Amino acid sequence: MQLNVTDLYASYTANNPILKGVSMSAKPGHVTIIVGPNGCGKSTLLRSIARLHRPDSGRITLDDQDIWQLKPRQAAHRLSLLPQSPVAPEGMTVINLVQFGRHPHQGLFQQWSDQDQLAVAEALQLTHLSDLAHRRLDQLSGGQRQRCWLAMTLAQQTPLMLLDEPTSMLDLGHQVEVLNLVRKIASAGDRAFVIVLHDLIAAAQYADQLITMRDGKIIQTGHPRDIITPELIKELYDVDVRILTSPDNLTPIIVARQEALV
Amino acid sequence: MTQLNTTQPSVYKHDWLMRLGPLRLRVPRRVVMVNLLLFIGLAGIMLASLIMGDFDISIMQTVRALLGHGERSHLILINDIRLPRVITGMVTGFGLGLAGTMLQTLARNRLATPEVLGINEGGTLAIIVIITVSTSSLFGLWWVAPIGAAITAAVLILFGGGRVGSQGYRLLIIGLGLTALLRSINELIISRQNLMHASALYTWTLGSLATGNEKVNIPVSIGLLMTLPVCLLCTRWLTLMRFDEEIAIPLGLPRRGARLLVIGCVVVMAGLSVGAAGPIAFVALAAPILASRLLGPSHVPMLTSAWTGCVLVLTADTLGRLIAHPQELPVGVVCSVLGGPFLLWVVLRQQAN
Repeated sequence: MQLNVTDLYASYTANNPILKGVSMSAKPGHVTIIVGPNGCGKSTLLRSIARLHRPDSGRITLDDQDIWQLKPRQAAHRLSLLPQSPVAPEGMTVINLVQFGRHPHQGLFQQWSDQDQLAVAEALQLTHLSDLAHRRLDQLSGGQRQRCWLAMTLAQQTPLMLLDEPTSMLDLGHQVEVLNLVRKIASAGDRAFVIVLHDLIAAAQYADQLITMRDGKIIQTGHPRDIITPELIKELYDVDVRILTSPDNLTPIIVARQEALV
Repeated sequence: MTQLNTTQPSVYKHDWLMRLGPLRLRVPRRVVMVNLLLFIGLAGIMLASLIMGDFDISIMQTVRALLGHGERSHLILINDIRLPRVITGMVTGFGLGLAGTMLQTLARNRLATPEVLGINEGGTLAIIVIITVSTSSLFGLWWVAPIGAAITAAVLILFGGGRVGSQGYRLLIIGLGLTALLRSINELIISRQNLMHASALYTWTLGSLATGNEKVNIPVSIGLLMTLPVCLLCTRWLTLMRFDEEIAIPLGLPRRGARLLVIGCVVVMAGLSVGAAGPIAFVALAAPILASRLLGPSHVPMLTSAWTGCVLVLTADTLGRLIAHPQELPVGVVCSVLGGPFLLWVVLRQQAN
């Protein structure tokens, strides 16, 4: 399912636009990562695509269908969101939570199906949570809980997945694990990922398409290898950096320049 | 054909899965057990409520009278005096239990109940105004309360700008102000009445089953039964409303529509309860909390909360008739006395989390 965003403007208060004419797209099988300094509008962009914030103008389409014209349930079949630091109701277990991913696929008289069961089991397996399935969420570590939320969005089985800072709560090991999982699912070919990330190095390593934003506008779009330069980083973050190259796959690694100590 | 399938892997290990033709239903075992126990408790308290009182009558005589046999005096006592009162209690408890659980879930705050937000008080005001203006009796006016409740809810939504606020606090603060305002108007109107009239009105504003009779019970029951399916349709949305919007909306919650429908159900349920027995305190707060404790965290208690409401109202009413014998305390007074400590416990527990 192809996502197209054309000339999007969005604001929270009048005359103070957060997004100023953003256009982008995301393809199935590809991981699109959005980076940029705090307040650049990347989360607002994600929230607009997830139908949480109605844009002032512009179009967001999935396979040429305007997402704001879909019914809530139809939209929930097409896209899922993992928000920043989500909170679950008190006392829920892992499996309780992950089952909510199936909610849009169920109905008053269709409260479970074999497909629901498969999707939940698969999501638990992919996130290595099968053994914790009946544990309470409040007894888990922050990293484990984040994986539960990811499992919930995976169980929703939507062609477009939106992740807002999915690794911000995780240590390096779990960060790599989550992003590797995303890569693996994306390479299977039929899901598109749009991810907001803070971590530039991880973004450069995992993105098929990197979108850089500042002040509500897109600065550059392309494969990290093609677009990351010291000039771009300077424009985005006002810092001087050097670009090294990963010995594994030639992806760029960004390191802040140290002032020479005299 | 019903086929119970209990051999599924652990995903649904706490549920019975049923195939009924094209239907696929999940019946959580715990819900079934809890509701069975509640029904037994409810039957017990109903019987106790019928048996206990000024005039002694045995269990056998009561049951016979219910079936239409036995002495004439027994028939009148049970079928014309005590049974209508029990039914009023059931109806009121049912409505308050359901309205409470729906509003608490919508606002994501245990303190958000129809009585705290002023919806009950609005219904009360409507009835008091009509009575004083038209000098009609209390019995025929059950239908006025839902209208008053609806107007109050509309004001609540208007001032809240359609938003609930974080953890429902926006709604709560506005509701508390509204309750105080409406209550003072109620008291002002009552204080302007002559003593006889005022004391009857006052007893009613405390919540009392003493006025329960068929003329009220039948239309109110019909109203509740007609709203019940709509409430149950909201259950799936309510389970999503327990999450932040960032979770609920991508899972398919129609934000505005769901909120309006839930508030509409709450208005009808709470309004009819007030119309039947006056604004009984504490039930709408306690019934959902107790029901949640019984069901566990993964369910929004709907019918369970309604049945719990019935049990609470009937228990309080029976206590009220026993404590101060030979006088009787209105059910609302007993509820308020029990409700104070309970409210304190809820607030302290919420703080501890």
